[in-house]
Amino acid sequence: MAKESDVSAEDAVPDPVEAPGGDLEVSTTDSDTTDRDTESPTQAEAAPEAEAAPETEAEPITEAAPETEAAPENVLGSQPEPGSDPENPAPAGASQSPPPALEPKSHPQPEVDPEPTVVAARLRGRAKLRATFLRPRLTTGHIVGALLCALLGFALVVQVRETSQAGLSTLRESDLVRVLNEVTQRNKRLQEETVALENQRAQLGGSDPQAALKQARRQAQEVAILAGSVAVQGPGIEVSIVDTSRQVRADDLVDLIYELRGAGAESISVNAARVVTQTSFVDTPTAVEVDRSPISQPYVIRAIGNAVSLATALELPGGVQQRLRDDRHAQVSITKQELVRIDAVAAPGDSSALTPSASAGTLAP
Amino acid sequence: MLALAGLILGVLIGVFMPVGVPVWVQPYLPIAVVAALDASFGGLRAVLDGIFNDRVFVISFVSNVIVAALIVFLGDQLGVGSQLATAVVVVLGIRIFSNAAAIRRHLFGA
Repeated sequence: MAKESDVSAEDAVPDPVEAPGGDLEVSTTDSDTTDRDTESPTQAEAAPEAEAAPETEAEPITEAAPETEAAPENVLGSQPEPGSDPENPAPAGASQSPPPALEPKSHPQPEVDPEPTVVAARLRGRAKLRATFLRPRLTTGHIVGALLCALLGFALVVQVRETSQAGLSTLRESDLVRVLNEVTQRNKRLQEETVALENQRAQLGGSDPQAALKQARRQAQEVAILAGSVAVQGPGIEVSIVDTSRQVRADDLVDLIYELRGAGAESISVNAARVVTQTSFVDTPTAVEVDRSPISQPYVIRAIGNAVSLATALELPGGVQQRLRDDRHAQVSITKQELVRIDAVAAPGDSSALTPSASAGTLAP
Repeated sequence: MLALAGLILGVLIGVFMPVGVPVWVQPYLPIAVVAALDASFGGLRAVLDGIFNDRVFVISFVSNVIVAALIVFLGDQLGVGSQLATAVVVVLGIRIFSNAAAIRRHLFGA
């Protein structure tokens, strides 16, 4: 029995491989033609050659390709219905034991199966593609398909061009509504601004020259306060620092000034010096110089602003006051006052290099 | 072959003819193009699978385009046009990818 099956296996394996090798090709092309093409059998006749020839040319491995291609397909085809294939029963009958003949047939299959079938599938796919390209068929269906493809290409290009010209016309309805809303709001804001500016112009150039003068004075005053060129008064705090051990440095005063500014001080003076943007603090061996003139003790810093927040800013734990006391051993006293007068004025800066630029706008009223 | 020639012809016509998109088509053309791309990839895959049928291709192409445009139209009427358009593009994109994978398996065996 074992011998028989061996023999039968040898018999059975080469037979179906060789015999249905051609059979398979024919059958696939048959199905091809029935599927795709019923009109031109001559073209279909040429098909197997076109498929087979490039295969062998293309790659050296293809020796194995037709076999493996044939084997699995043949087994699949012959196993369920052995009687249907006219050539299959003959080798089976010759070996005289069909059941064992089938078993070894399916046996070698898994060994050869995974890789060659992939190769075969690839070759088949390429061959099919090549065949499809080499044999344009002129049925109505194919022409309609080609026309549809033309339509696709056309629409694709038109759409791409349309998108690249991106403008309002390509936006969707909701986006357009959003854009419209934005434009409307902006328009409203600009209209309000126009009305305000027109009012201002009417006051300035119109019947009331007094109004223009008044506004100009107000602006001049604001600028003067900012520049520190006029005496000012208002609620605020007075900080007095007695530095007996002479350890307070310019840095500490600058810290103090910035703390006050951060807390909203509108105007600050140190002793007789008004603190403005150009004010300098310099350490010298004998004393601290503010704007190049030494200041004497006690240092008195006056600040106008919200007294409570100014005082709080200085009195913070770990803040300026504590540092002056702990690190510099200075005595610091802070008093809130209803009315702080700052009489010190800053010397007008040297502005010989400056002229107002042509595009300089007017200050907001 | 014929299909490729048609595609190239269409592109050439599109490039050399200064045609704008009519306003009423504008919301639907991009979606329709994506749907047509999906149908084309499906067709190529069917060729490689050996089950290509021109009738099926034509019908699936036309119906894909129409259904896609219809969905977007319906979405616009319901006020969810952009969302539905996104949904259509996502679905078609997935299909294009799976078809492309099948084609790749056929051509490169991997």
